[in-house]
Amino acid sequence: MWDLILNPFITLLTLLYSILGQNVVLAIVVFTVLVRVAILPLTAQQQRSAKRMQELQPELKKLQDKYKNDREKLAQEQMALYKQHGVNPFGGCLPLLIQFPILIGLYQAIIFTLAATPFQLIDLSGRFLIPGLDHLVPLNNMWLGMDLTKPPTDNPTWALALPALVLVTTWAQSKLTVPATPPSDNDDGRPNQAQAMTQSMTTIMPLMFGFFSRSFSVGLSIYFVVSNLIGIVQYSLMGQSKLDLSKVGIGRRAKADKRQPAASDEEPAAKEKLKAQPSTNGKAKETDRPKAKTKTKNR
Amino acid sequence: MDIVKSLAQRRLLVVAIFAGLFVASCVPIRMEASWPALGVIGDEQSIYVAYNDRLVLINPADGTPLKLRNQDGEVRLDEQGNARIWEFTGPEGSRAQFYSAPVVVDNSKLLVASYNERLFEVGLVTARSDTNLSGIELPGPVIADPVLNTDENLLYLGISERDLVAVTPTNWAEQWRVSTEHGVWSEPLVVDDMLYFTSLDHRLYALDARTGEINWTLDLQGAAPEPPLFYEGRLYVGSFARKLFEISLEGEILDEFQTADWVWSTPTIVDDVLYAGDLGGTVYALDVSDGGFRQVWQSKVASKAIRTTPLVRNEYVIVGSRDHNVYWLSRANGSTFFVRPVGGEVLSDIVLIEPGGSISEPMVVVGTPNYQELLVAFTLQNGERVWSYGR
Repeated sequence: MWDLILNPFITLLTLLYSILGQNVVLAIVVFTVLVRVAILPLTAQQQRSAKRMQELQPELKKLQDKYKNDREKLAQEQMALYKQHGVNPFGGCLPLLIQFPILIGLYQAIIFTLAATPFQLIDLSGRFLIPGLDHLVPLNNMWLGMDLTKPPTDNPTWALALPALVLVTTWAQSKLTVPATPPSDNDDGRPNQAQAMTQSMTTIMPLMFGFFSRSFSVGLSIYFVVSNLIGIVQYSLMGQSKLDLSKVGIGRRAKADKRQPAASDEEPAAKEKLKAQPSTNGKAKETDRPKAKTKTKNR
Repeated sequence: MDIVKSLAQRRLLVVAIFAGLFVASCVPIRMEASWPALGVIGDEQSIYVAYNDRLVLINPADGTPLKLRNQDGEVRLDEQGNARIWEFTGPEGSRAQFYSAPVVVDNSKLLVASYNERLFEVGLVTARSDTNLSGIELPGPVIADPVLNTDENLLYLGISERDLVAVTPTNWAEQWRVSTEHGVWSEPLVVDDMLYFTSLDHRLYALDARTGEINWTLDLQGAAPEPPLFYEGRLYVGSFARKLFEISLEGEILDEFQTADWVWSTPTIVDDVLYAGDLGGTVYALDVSDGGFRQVWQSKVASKAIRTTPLVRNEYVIVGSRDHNVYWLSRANGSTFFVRPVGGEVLSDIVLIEPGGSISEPMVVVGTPNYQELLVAFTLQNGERVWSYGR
């Protein structure tokens, strides 16, 4: 079953290798670009879904405040809100689920095609879907003095730059695709675990990939770097508001985004409160903040 | 439950699961580079199996590891009182891996090449490396079986990454090297003063066996991981070009035969009929009596690759396949007599054990990468399972 994805990818990668002067690295780059472009509609849909969810955050926050003591009602109102705005809360999951097997197949194809041992080479047999590719096997696995089938630790010293590049590009891509808002507390004073988890994942994932890429073949590390760079360009071109490249040290720092949901939505409410309550000297600022009665009680 | 929080958590869970799958998929499924190397040593027909971290000698009568004995013939015991077995694992911490056949020297020691670029001298009686405990450094990993040319006092080593190297087996000095553009996974064939070997760079090389001077090279149009066969003044070899070649000793292609898939085994010839298998599971019988190939039969035998050199004996052609089966075929027409399942892929060449001593009838022994069933022995005539060895 998995061969339905894998064999076409192996065939395509080998064909590109043949067309591109038997340059494995060039074949990996072009191969990655082609596959990422092919799944661009899925990526775009996922990002659109995420963006819509982000835009609904202020409204969702209001509902949470309003129905914080009635979870069932809260769930009903949230679903109604989604329906009203035509948002599918799981709309970002399906594209993600479809993309992952494709991306896994992509890098597995690279592993298979860069066969370096008898087991790997015999596993490659019977996978070409078009004739005329047999004479290319095994692929030329040397590039810049590095053996692409071996990990950086079994290559010249400069190969160790690759795990570092994997780490940096993975981090840069995650910074560009995940909101940089710090974990804020819920109304009950407990930290927002989802946001905290998201933030920690954007730190852990790059470290994890950077660490594991020390054990990956050099060819695979090149794929990760290329894929991450494509992702960075892709998300930038899609015009996400959170895509401020200055966050990762590229270009001038953009002006602060004033559309912070919490501040912007609380501002009118705060103004309303100011109108309702007579201001007294020295205490006006205190009345601007919503009173956290729960916190006071806990103290 | 807060749907937003659960949704975010669900997404993170999905990401975490796929990240785990992603990383798991990146890790090679097999830790081993190749399949076991099998063969026979000595008059007692002890079976060696070299696989991953150890080389073991097996008693062909019952499939148990050979016991080490002292000069009086008594079984040696370890500190716990257990019989010591013939097993070599390399120095502690060396992580040595063995996939090639050992070379017997003077019936007293074995030269064992490892995938981690070391060569060990192992006592045939002691199963220990008493000299050069850490092994002799090799110029690269070795999968091909080394070949000792006693006439020239040279040991030939095919290096898995590239090149064929000749060293003297006394001081281990490199005498010459033939550069190739890809790995050498086949053992050299020495005929008279000439040495022939194939490489994954698609070439068949013919050299002076003493000096390493290249006489000629021939493009086999595809990778060739196995050595040629010499028969009646000609060479026979297969390649990934889906072809079998008949080649003169001057390097001229005399005939070609198109196969259905890659050929990854040295053919065998019995009574002027060549037998070979391909990675599509087809076995071929070709008459070579008058030069050139004339098909006798071809038979799609297995659903998966046949990498083993066919074993031809009596009325049988016996092959093993990646589909975990051993096939007894009719030598006359390629039909299947019977099939015997084993616990793993049959990729190693099949070994024939002749009757003698406590062995009453001929046996065939196959190897698999399954540690529970590394070796399986069957009677030649009716395929009855005799024993199996695992660890």
